[in-house]
This record gives sequence, structure tokens and C-alpha cells, in this order.
Amino acid sequence: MNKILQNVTFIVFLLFGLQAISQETIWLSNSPPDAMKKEVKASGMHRYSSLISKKRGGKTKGDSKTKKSKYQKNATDSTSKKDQKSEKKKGESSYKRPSTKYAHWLREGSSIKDSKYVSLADSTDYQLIMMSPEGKSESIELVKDKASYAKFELNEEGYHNAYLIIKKGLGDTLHINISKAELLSHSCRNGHHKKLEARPVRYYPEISEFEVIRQRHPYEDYHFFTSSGDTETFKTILDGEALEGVKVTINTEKGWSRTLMTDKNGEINTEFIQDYFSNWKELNTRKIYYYMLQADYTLKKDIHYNGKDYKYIHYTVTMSDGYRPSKTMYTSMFWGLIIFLITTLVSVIGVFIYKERRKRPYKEVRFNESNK
Amino acid sequence: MQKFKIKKYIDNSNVSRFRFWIQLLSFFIFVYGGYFFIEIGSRLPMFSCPYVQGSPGGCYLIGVQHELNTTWSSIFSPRGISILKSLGIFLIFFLFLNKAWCGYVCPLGTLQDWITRLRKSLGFSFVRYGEVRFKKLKVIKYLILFLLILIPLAINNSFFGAPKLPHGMHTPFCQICPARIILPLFNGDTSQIFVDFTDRSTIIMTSLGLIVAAIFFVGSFVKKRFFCFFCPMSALQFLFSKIGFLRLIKDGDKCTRCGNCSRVCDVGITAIADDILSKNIVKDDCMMCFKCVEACPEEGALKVKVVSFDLFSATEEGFFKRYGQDKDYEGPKK
Repeated sequence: MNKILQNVTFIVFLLFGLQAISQETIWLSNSPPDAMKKEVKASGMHRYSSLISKKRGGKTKGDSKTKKSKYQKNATDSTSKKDQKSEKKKGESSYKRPSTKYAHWLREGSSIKDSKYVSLADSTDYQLIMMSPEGKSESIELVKDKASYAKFELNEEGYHNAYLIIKKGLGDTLHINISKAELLSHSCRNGHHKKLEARPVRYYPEISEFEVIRQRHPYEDYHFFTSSGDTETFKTILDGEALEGVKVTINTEKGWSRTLMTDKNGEINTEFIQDYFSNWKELNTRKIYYYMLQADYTLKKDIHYNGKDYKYIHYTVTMSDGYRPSKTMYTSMFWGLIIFLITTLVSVIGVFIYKERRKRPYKEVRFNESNK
Repeated sequence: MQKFKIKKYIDNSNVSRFRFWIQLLSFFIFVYGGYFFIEIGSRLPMFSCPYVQGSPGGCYLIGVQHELNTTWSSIFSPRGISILKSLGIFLIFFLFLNKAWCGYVCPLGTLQDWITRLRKSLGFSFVRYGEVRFKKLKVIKYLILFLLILIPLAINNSFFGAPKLPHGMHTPFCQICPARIILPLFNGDTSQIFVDFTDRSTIIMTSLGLIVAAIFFVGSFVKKRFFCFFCPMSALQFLFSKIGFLRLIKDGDKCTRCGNCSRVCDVGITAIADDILSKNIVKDDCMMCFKCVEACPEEGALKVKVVSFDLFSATEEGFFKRYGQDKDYEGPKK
């Protein structure tokens, strides 16, 4: 009897375990692990990607003085060796080409709050792809560490798309986890020649059949950032076509969560809540809170993958980005108008007084011509 | 013969009327052009303000402030080449029109001219600076130019051990520039009328911007081209005006010092009448509107040249025609 009970318990736990594995969602996070937060610099214009090494010609402060972490050391060592090799080949001088590396960390879980930083197992079947704003394939590397991360450069101006696609068969379903990141490369120092090219959005059905995109605002440019109170539109696409009835869940760093179904245009509209509450003196208008979006869709389709047949494909696509405090929280149009009107009034009075003081009283001068 | 006819036609023409239409067209392009997918460039030598949604380009000053908002090591690395590249683009644009960018193209200058027209139609008198005040005030634009270069540098670098300036002072001139607040209004955008309460520096800078914008309106109403007198772009342009293709040339031997030219000058430059020694008469406050050439009755005393080619010259006949006194004109002097 005990043996049967033990076996039943084992099977129940196994099923729960399998269920848990099947629901694990991997997503790309722009926020570094806590252990690295002091060493990793967030870079706002680059869609909040994290900077892990920065070289501009000579030695940077970080190169000489600060002690590098385990993660950082691995990242910089591998890049510098590559750089050196390529430079030697080209026969260039000792100057190192300006190179800025960014990273997106792999996290596991269905909400930001409960997600942990993970390392991808060697046996995992994955593809890591990055596409340039012009739609060309770019180099991106997965660094498998205590906390794995995707490492890349952003040279060309515009939105780069990164995809981490993990496939796993479970029962009669093939689970495809697509972790997507939209990465903006823009520096005001390089001018604003392509300012209008923040639109349209690029997507790649040939890389990722199922995809979610953030629709651009009508006048969106590279300076745009989402703020609390803004409404964003996300669209789900399957094989290049808008998909209705997809469950999309958005959750934020502080635990707020919302689930919506896409409409006939494949879109959901959601307003971002105010997550940031600060003392006046500690107000940080560039504070970034993160959100994570997950869309799930199951497609009935016979598919042969890695020598096995599956009846269903379950797609999970994730995307994460940041949003800032609402501008209305720390700016005032009312006070702007007051200052403007008071200055106008004072200036008008000033000009009036100035003109009045320059007026000379009428003084009649008479000449007696007969005296000449 | 045909060539002389064209030249005569140009010399007798009313350049101010031509200028009015050019200004109107430029204003439309530089405030709404972006909506028509017009893209001109981001290092323009006048206030094509990127804060205006419909702007087809960007002013050089915003670019230079962004570029200098960095460390010395970055400036003196190959990254510094981008600063020189921007200056080069600015110069290429600038060389063609010289300071006529201000007189013919700048939307903020055009707006001041329209305010002047409004004042005239309402019958208010205008103000002119005295000689001494003129000399004192004209220094301000150089001071602003110096500060707009210095402040971005001082945000990232310490000067003589002094603390770095707060980030809230980034693009300091743009924060106080009236174009940032006023020009977006023509796109129906009031979002620039605000005070940023993030910290002391942002409160000061955004408030200062609104104060300058208010003074701009009142000042332009009582003084022609009020803001141009303090404009750092004008100061920067003057540094390169000698190499501009468009030139304003004076022949001192033909000048009778009647003073017509300085009287019609919107900025109030007296040197144009008094200086009979200089050939190149473009002064730092000049906006090359060529009103002085129109008002000059002496044959060839003032000339507008494109490098060495005569484009527009002062003529007695042209003077009489423009001022509606054709009947008094007795033909060319013999």
C-alpha cells in the first residue's frame, strides 16, 4: 500500500514538475542582476540596455581603477582579444576603435517580480539573432555565465531587433519561447539626420513566426520614451498577419499586472500606471521602471521537429522595456504661464515708463525776426 | 544688352517686397516642412528649431551644445572629429547665404519683422538704441556664445577644481531660446510652456526661458529685430562672414554720408554710413537684408556681390523708383 502511495506521489510530483517546466518563460531583461548594478551603467537612449564595457581610444577610468566583476571581466576580455586580433590583421595603429558593448540578461519567470536571472543549459536548443534597422543580420553572442546574457554592439542608428528563440518539445506540443528585445541606438551627438525614421516598425516572420511589436506614435522620434499615463499599442503577428484573440499579459516591476485579448487588428491598448512615488527632494525624472509583456498562442499544426512529431505549437513571445515618470508629475504649465504673463506685464510697464520719461514737455521758442 | 537689361531690372527692383515673400516661404518650410517630408539638415546656421514638430532641420547651436556635453578625453579623441564635421557642415550652409540666413530665412527673425509690421499698423512708435548703449549691448551675444560653449563642457569637466555643473543645464541656450517656446506654438504645440521642478537648475533654466520669451514679444514690438541684437548665432556667423560668398561691399569714395542706409537699418547700425574706409561693410549685427542698398541714392556706393559678381547695386534710378519719386528722377547724371 505504502509503495503504491509512494509511486502515486512520485507521479503527481513529476507531473507538477513537468507542468512547471512547460510554463517557464525566458525573457530578455535590460536590467542587470543586483550584484552588478553598481558596475553596469544604464543607458537611456539605447532603450535602457546596460553598458558592460566602454572603450574610447585610450584607457577609461573603469579600465584602470575599478575592479571588474566576474561577469564584466569575461565580457571585456573576450572582446578585447577579438578587437586586438582584427586590428592586427588590418594593420592598424595601436588605437582601438570606439566600441560600446551592451547586454540583455536572461531571466526566467512570468512576472518581473518573481523572475530570476538564469544560466542557459548547454543542452538547450536555442537561436540568437539580431537584425539591424536596415534588416541585415548582425553579430550577437550569448555569454553563458552564472547569469547568462546576450552581448552585442549597436553601431547603426535606429531600432535593432534581438530574438532569442528556444524550442522544446513536451508531449504532443512543441513549445517555442521567443524572447524579443527592441534596442534603440541613437546619440544626439551624431546629429538627427534620420529623426523621422523611428517609424515604421520592422518585424521578421522568416525569423520569428509569432511576434509582438510596439506600435509607434504618430510623431515618435528617437527621443521618445514611454511615461506613466501613456497609452501604448502592441500588436501580435503570426506569419506576418495580425492575429486576433491572443492573450497578452503585461506586468511591471512593482507587481501591477494586466491581461488583455487582442482585437481583430491583433492589437491591445494599455495605459501605463504610475509606479514611481518619490519625495520631492529625491525626485529622479530619469528613473526607469520596467515592464514585461508576454503573449501566448497555441496553434494546431502537425510539425516534425528533431525526429519527433508534434500536433500543436505553443508560442510564447516576451518583450521588455522601460518607462519613466510622467512629465506632468514634475513640470507645471500653470507656473510657466504665470511667469510668462508676469514678465510680459512688467516689460510692458517698463517700456511705458521708459517712453514716458523720454517725453520732453512742450516748450515754445519764439524768434523775433525783426531784431535781426 | 540683355544682360544690362536684367541688371537694370534687378537694381531697380523692390528687394524688400521680394524679401517678404522669401521670408514667408522660408517660415512655412522651417515650421511645417517636416510634415511634407522635407529634410534639410541638422547643422543649419539659423533657428530651425528641432523642438518644432514640423521642422525639417536643426539649428547648429543645439548640435554644438550636445557635442560639447562630454569629457575632454572624448573631445580630444577621434570622436572630436564629429565636432569638426558639424562645424564643416554649418560652414557649407553658411557660406552660400552668409548673414542673409538671418535676414531672409530665420523664422524667428521673420516673426520679429511681422511683429514690427503689426506695430506699424497700430501706429506705435519704435525705439532705437543710442550710440553708447548700442556698443555696450552688442557684447551680450558674444557672452552668450561663450557660455553656450562653456556650460556643456563644465557639466562633464571640472574647471580649476570647481564642482561640475548640474545636468539640468544641458543645452543651456536652447533652454532660454525663445524659438523653443514660440515656434512650436505655430504647430499648435504648447508643451514647451512649462517650468521643470526637477531641481534648482531646471527651475532656473526653464523659468529663464519663459522670461526671455515674454521679453522677446514686448521687445520686438518696440524695437525692430530686438532679439537679433543678442543672438549668439549672429555672433558665430560674424566669425566666418569674411569668407561668405554673398558680400555687401561699400565704395567709400562714392558715399556722401547722407545717412539713409543707417536710418533704414532695422538693427540700427550706424557704421554703415560712418565707415567710408572699409570695403566689406558686413558688421556683426548685420542681417544682410539689403535695405541699405535700396535706400542708397549714389550709383554703386553699396553693392551686393556673390564672390566678385555684382548681384544688386545702389542706383539713383532704383532709389527714386522704390521711394515712389520717379517723376523727380531726371535720368542718369552726365
